[in-house]
Amino acid sequence: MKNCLLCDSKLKLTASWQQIIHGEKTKSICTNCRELFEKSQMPNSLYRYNEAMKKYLHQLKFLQDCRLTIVFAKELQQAIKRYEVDIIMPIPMHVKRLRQRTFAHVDELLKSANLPFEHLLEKTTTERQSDKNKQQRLQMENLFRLKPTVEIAGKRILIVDDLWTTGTTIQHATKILQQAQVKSVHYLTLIKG
Amino acid sequence: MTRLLNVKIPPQMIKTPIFDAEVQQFLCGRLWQFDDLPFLQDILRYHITQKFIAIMPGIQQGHKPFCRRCHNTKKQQFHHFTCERCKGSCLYCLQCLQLGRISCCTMLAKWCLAPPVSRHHPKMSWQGQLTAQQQQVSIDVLSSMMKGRNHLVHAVTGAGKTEILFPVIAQALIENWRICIATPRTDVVIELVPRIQQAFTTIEVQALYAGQKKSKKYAQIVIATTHQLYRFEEAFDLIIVDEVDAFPYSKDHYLQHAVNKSCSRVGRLLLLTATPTIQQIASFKKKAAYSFLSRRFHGVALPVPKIQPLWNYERKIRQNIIPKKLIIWIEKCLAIKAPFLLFFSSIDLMLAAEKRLSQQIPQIASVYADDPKRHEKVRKLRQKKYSGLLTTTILERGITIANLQVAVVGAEHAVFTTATLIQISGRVGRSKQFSIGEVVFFHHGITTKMTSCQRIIKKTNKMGYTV
Repeated sequence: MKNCLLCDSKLKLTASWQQIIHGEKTKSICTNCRELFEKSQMPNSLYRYNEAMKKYLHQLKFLQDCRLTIVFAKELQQAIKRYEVDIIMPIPMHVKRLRQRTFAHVDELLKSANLPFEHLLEKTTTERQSDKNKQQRLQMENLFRLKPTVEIAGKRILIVDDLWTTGTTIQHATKILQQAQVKSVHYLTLIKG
Repeated sequence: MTRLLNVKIPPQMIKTPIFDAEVQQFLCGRLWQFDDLPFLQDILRYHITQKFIAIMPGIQQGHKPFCRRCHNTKKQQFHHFTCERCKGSCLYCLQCLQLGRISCCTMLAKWCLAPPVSRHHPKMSWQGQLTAQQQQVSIDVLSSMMKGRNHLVHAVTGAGKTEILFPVIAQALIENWRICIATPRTDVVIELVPRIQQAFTTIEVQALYAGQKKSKKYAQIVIATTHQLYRFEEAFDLIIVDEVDAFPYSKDHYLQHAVNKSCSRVGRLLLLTATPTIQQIASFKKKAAYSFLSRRFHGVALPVPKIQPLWNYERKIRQNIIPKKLIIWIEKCLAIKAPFLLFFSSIDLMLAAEKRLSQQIPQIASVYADDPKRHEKVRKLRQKKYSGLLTTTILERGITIANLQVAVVGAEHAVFTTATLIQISGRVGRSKQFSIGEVVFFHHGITTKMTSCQRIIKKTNKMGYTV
């Protein structure tokens, strides 16, 4: 018997033949919890930031419950399939931060969605975006630098991140990639704040 | 690193331990995540090298993983993942995840030296009088405590359990024990803190519950939710558990274990409840550590619930009709200007009833566990800004309102166990001025739980008046 990852209530697991044949994953959260997430109207994000999403991110990032990356695996997979790109690139974490959190949540999201990805950038600062206001974020120097050995000229790239608040992170990453003369840059965030 | 694990140096071997009093005050009795300690790294490193602080991995890996904090050993309650800190496979405990994740690479810290010495002289400023029966119970409890024995106090609702505690705590402070009052409910913690602090003004009283501001000080009296006790180890000489039968404590053996492990080796437990199980009574009676307080502090008998049919109430409410009998009952309460509580079995049924009722009766509201305005609404009922509240079983205990009248809608539902029904009936007639009141169980088919609740209340009333 499995329990819902968010509210710990018992899950009714009745796998259909279709699910078994296509090898789809079984449910990870209950229907009630699923309904609390609001679909986003924006083209480049999947969900809106609401109370349920706040709780989800708290459990994933603060409590470091890395089981939760599986929750949006199917949705993320379907959304990313729509993009015609060569490389999927998650926004990287600083090495220090990574050691603190013990896992890179964006990487894990992609892993659980069964998607190949590649890191092209390195983060240069350990400061947290969530500690700053919009003004401060706009005045910052670029958060990233290109990894020394990557060859990406002429490639089509999709940037993936968990949360879009002001767009600074995505902007900085796009700028660096464009300087490296990629063919096109797209982006997708799980949540739009 | 392994050399430091679980090493305890007897204090007498160190001639003059020089340590930071703040670290001692904070960490004494606690089992805390090393990374979350609110002190500078240099200070902590010094204490570790001097072996004043022991650090150990959060999860011990053997043939069975073992969580050092919640003592969980079930394999399915651990999650394996690839960790960037261990550079490989790691696992974390799912049982106590909500208190902050404990994984193999999380270090837990523990204070190894003696606790701080309290310089304050314990003085009880509580001046109230105990009834003869209350006095007898507190004498029984004290004698158990001095023998180092656990004790169960079975007291009817509204008997004045907290008052019995005052002489017990006073004695414990004279013995220089560290005391914890634990309860499953945050509401009870918030209510208890000012009462205890007022009774013992010279002693540091600390409240611990999720979401409160943390204090670094050592407190001789800690009032906490039972969940917080996961973070203590062999800390208290006396733990008083209030409302032992309340959810989630009664069902969760990890929580019960947490209480036991935070009790020191010579410590004792004092359990308080209005509705103990038969097994609990039997096991404590055997050890002569059971006291029964059958009379309310004002001496008036407990109100006996009335059982009335309310056929097809669920269908009617869903069709947006409020059954006539219920309306009559509410109007009766309104006529005598008494606040009322209506208990429902589920949130959606309650909300359906609220929608219809609010059109007929002004100033009503509904509360449930996740309602952010829960405390405010209860306060408004107390201030008579609301004439009544619709509620789920969340308000079954810990609420005292003068002249309250209570009805249960759908008492046959499985959520209303005998204990719940006794607790609900106990909300009525709790003040000296209004010592009687009405409790009605509206039902669609009578159940044994309702009748046994009635029988138990009648029986205790009889006992209370022949003694």
